[in-house]
Amino acid sequence: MTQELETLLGVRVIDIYVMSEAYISMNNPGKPGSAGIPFISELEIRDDVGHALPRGMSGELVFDGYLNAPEENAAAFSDGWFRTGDLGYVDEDGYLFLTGRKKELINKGGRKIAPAEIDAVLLSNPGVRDAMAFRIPDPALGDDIAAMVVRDDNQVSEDALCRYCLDRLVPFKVPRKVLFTDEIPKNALGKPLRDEGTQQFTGAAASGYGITEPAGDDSCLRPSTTEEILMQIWQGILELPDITLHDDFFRCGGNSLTAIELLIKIQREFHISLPPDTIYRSPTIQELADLIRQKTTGKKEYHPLIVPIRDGGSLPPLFCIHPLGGWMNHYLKILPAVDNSRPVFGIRGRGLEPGEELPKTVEATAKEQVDAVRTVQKTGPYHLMGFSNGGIITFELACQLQEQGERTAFLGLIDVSAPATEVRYIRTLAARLFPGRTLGKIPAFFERSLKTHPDSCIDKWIMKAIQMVFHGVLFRSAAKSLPESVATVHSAVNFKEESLSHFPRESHPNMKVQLNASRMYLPHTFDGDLVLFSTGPDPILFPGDITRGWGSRITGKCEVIAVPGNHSNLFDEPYLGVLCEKIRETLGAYR
Amino acid sequence: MTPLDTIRDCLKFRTAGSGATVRPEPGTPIPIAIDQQHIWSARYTDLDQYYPVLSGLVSTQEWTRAAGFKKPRDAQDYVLRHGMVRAVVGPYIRKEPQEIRFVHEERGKPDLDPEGDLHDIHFSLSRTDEMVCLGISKKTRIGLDVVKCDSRYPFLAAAEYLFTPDERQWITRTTPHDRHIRFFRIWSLKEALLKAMGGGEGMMQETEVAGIMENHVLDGVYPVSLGKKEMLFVIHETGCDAGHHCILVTLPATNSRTLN
Repeated sequence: MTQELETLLGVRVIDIYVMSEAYISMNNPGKPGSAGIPFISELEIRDDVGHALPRGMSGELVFDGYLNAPEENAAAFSDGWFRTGDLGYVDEDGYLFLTGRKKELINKGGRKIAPAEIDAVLLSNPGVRDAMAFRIPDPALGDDIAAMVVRDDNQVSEDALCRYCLDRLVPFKVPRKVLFTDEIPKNALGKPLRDEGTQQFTGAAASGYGITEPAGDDSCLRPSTTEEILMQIWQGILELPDITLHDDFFRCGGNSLTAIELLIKIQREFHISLPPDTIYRSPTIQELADLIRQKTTGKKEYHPLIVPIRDGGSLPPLFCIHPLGGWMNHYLKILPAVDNSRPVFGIRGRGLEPGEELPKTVEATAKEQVDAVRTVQKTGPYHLMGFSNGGIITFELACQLQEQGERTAFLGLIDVSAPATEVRYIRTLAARLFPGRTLGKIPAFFERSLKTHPDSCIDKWIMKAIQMVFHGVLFRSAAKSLPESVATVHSAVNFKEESLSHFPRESHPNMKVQLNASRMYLPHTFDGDLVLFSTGPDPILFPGDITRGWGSRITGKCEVIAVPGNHSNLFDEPYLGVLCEKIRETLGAYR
Repeated sequence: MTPLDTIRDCLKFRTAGSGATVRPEPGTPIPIAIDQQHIWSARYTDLDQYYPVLSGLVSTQEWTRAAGFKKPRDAQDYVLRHGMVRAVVGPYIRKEPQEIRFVHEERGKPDLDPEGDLHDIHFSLSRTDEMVCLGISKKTRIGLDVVKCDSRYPFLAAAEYLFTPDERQWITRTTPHDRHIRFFRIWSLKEALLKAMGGGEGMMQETEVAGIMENHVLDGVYPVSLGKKEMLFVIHETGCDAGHHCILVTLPATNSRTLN
């Protein structure tokens, strides 16, 4: 733009740095990217605690107040210095470079990051026309980084941009999320409005800028990479803050003793034992990360249903069972709530790959998932979590592990009621058999009885009878031709197609099978505790029961943890932060 | 006046093997017997004052390598110790320090270029954050290791990772206060053995030294198990500066021939 202006107007364009309080610098003779040589003799660059920084180091620009105006200085400035709020540094030649605004600094786990630095890297990508980094809330780190990008080349993916940044920035500065948009929000002076980016990410106002998710990417947050974990280990051992992926361990001050220390930490973090001379053969983070991936994901053949979300760590893994549809998106969002030392594995649903046949019952679904889980963790105690319909499968999974003599230490269900199959059927059947207000109370009696006295002999007998009738007769014959009256009941109990209207149409067939399987499921009793993260009670199926039916399905304690939002939005901000916090607190106790 | 004469006031000198420790005379070639080893050591803080002298001795290749260090202090230390090697080795092979040519083994261990070394001198360099040690021998390979016995180092985990069960047992058969000393004794002995044999860290798990560690101070010829084989090594163990431990290993003539 500068060149265009100079050509158009026939004059030189000179950058100056001014504010109402002072005329600070002029870039003449010019140095690319600089704000020029300061006029003010008492200009300093200071760190957070007010210490002056040497040349080359970035900090806040301060100067010594109004000239010959002591009264104004006393009134307007603290300790005699005017804090501009601008960040920058002065290079060896005395040129001032501005790097951003202090209030825009992103505080990621105590590390201060100037978003302008990330902007610059993103803008250097040939496929990016405009970019703006901004803070997003993170329950563990305080702040994390996201970026809005206007693409010149629609082929540029989020993953490719993150990789691009990873090659040019230290890993903790790499955006955790890249949103593609048509326009970056800016003020009248053309400065990026980063707060709007934050608001749009956390709120539901994305439509104002036409933000779109990258095609084919259904994740929201990127999990920690092997490189990031290695970077933290290196920084801890070498006590060196600015390490890049391609730095040689021994050129960073490492020696044979610290190389072994590094291998020990890698062993603890990734559960792999590398030969003692590994660091001599793979002395950079990038080479080590490639090697670790090769040793872990590359060679490890997971069960087809296992989705490794984070495959390193010393604690027992957390298995997250897919909700309706079969995907893992929700669990990626709560990943920051899970201790970095705990591996996280998703269990996806059948039917996502071509030619896969979906199990017709929860029992069959869970049976296959038990096999999958045991390929990763052979013996208990297990840690299981499931959201929505996935909670029902998770419960059955825990019951089946129990039948195999395995213990489930943590059974966490997110916003799901116990399956009320018998209640639904009794209610529907009785309503058909005994129409009218008086007779209509009969099913309510059965409902109450089943919900409040699940262990009484009479109720057990009733349940057994229901199980035999509904499972042994009705559903086995469902594949054939049902008597008209039974078919009516069956379809009345089954879900309504329109209830899936907010899901992609192509996923309806899978969901229909999964949902019907849950509605036919008669749960066993689980000998253990259960934690329910609940947005509220279920007044329709379990009025007055805050455990939403789970309390009567277990022999242990049912802890109900209230979380804000509703079933549709509890994984979105502003509710996501609270959900993560609750999960972190609860799961943290199960080390 | 040679560069060694210039810096010799900050160097410590010891001999191992036969003969008494007689500090070599300034300005003359340094004689060394076949069954003798010399150890020169210095602290970086003492060498600092001779940076102008030592930095003038290193080659362009060494300067390039120094420039690759992330921390300026590491780069400076690299120049100091390589300048010191040149200054010390020069009088042994009767060459000007700047003219000495080195070759590097696969793991980076430097040795004298055999084409330019008519006296069959070998050396081994080891360093910590604080000091540098240089061992010199004649006609036999030498391995030297100096280590700072830092009790904060995760030595038990490292022992679990690298040492044999017998070695680990020997470490834990003493008071907790002394265990790290035992770890660093084994560590420096193994490092010195690997250097003497020209092996990498991968061989560390194959060497078994528990059997000889009961000796209060190693000073003589000892058998060391290497996998299924057993070899004899000349081992000299010495403390150097406070908190540091140094071990020097050479191969007896028979072993040396076998390895070569």
